[in-house]
Amino acid sequence: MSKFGNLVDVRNGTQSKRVFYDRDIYELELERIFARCWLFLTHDSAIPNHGDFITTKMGEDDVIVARQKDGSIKAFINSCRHRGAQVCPSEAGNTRGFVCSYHGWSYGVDGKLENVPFEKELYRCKLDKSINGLIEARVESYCGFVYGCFDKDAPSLSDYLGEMKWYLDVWMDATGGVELVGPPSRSVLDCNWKTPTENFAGDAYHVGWTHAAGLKVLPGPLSMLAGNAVLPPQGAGIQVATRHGHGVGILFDAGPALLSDVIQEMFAWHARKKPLIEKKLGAARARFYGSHFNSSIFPNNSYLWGTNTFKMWAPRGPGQIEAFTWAIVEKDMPAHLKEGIARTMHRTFGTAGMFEADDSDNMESMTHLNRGFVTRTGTLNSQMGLGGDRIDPELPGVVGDSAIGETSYRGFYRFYQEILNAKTWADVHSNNARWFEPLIGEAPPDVANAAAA
Amino acid sequence: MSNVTIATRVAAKVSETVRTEGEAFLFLEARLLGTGQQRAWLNEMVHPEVVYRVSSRQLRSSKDKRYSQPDEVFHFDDDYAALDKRVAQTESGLQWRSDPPETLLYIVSNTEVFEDERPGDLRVYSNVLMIRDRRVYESDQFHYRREDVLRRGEDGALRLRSRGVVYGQRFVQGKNLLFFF
Repeated sequence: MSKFGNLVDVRNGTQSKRVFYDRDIYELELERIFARCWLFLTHDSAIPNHGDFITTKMGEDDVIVARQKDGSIKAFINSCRHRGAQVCPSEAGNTRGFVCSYHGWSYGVDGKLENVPFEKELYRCKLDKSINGLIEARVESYCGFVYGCFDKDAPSLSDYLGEMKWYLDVWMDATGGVELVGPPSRSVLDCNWKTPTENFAGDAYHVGWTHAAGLKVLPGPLSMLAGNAVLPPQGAGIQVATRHGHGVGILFDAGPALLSDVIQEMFAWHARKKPLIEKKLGAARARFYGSHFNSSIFPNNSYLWGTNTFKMWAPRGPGQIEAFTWAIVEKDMPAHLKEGIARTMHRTFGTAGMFEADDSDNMESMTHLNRGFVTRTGTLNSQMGLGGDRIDPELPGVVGDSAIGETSYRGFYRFYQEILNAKTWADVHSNNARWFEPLIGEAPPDVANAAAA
Repeated sequence: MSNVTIATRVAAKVSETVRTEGEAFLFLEARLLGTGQQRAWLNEMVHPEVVYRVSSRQLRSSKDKRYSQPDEVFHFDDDYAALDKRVAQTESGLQWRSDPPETLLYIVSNTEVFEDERPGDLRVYSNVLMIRDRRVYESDQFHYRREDVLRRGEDGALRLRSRGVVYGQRFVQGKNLLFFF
């Protein structure tokens, strides 16, 4: 239990509304989540050559991510070790080093402090440059996706991703690899970082209603869902929750249904490549390849596979985020198909996205209505399908058997509470044998009254 | 597409009549788009072969000559059919975000009209400040330069053949760019 009491009732699938609003909770999130979990940085394809770099955010920390001479990647805090001014104001480039614009201290691409103007005359050998390099974060990659972590005690990226890798491999690996098409678009939303993350992790329910107008006018296999005219039948998909809070929902066979101009070409591409996926991963995951994924990697990294959008929601206080948006393309796609995917994806989920703009009112009001004292004493309900989730012999994680439900929400907030309350990662992992128990099995008898609690 | 006017490329001046006509075109557009008349705008003022682009540029050092990744992301990269779908979305009756109706105010200024390369085409530059007010508390501001080509049809009317905007505000503060530029 944190100093805030129980913010999440895992068994009943509810959360306190304060998690979207409270400044003190947010500060604890910065300390216990953003300073301890693996955070998305960039993709190999953005920084292929020695000296290539991008700048981005880890939580609210401004960081530089740079390709080293030996091919490895380093990430450091974009703040000079002298008085703390920003060392690199560019978003990306190729450089031999970074020179602070304040006093001219200069760092190599490896972050080492190489040159201090008038060092001999002014510091008289009293400055130890070797301990004044830019502050580093750990950097690890999975299938070319680069993540950073400030906590030396955190598990490896691979262990952190855990069961989610089984699902990621379908598109990140078995395809022969993907790239992110950049640069990202960058825009503000006045919402708490968890509101889009939970939505991408587990919300197939909102698609027909929130996105009714877009579905109605964009032709494609999902148009029938417009205005909730049709409910996907039983067996149309699954939802998954994992050990470290990541979640995914899979809508079978829907794949590129939202990408208008390139739908037919993508269906054809998927059909041609499916046998390769089946050979590598088997029939079930070959079907996933042509399906639509909505997913989040805890804490603030989301994507849609099929619609091929990749997101990072950088927190800016409890009530605001910066949305970063990239397109995902398979490495071996022809150039015109890559361009077509980037064009049609940004048309739906970019800054002028016909779908993206539908979500903002929901997420912003979920956040800011909590300025009301009475409003924020209430609870959030994620009880759809409660009691129906289970462990599956073939599908890793905790599984919900329907395309629509709130399995992934419950898994996200279970881990959220766990990491927020844990003093160390060892405390988190003391629960390894039993972490899933509150997510599966019969719902408690008082579930009907839980919303009123 | 460059936002910088190169004098030699656009030296061809037009008559005051044509200059006024170009400016009047922009003002009519601004009024139609600002009063919920997107369909009329598309039907009457947009060329069937329109190329409609709005992008953001990644911020890089002007001294950087070696980084070769793409530096432009397109928020709009639309032809007539894509614009038509966007207009249809506003007419669907299901676009919850635009109910209650928003108020869009387009202030168009710094209009310059030149002859373009193809005879009869006009190259038009303008600056826009657009304020979008919606719901009770929301007021967002958008400011941008436009570079347009207007083409005269057989009926004598000008239509928008291309529009290019490089949106200068890298971190888009107006939350979304879901409006016609």
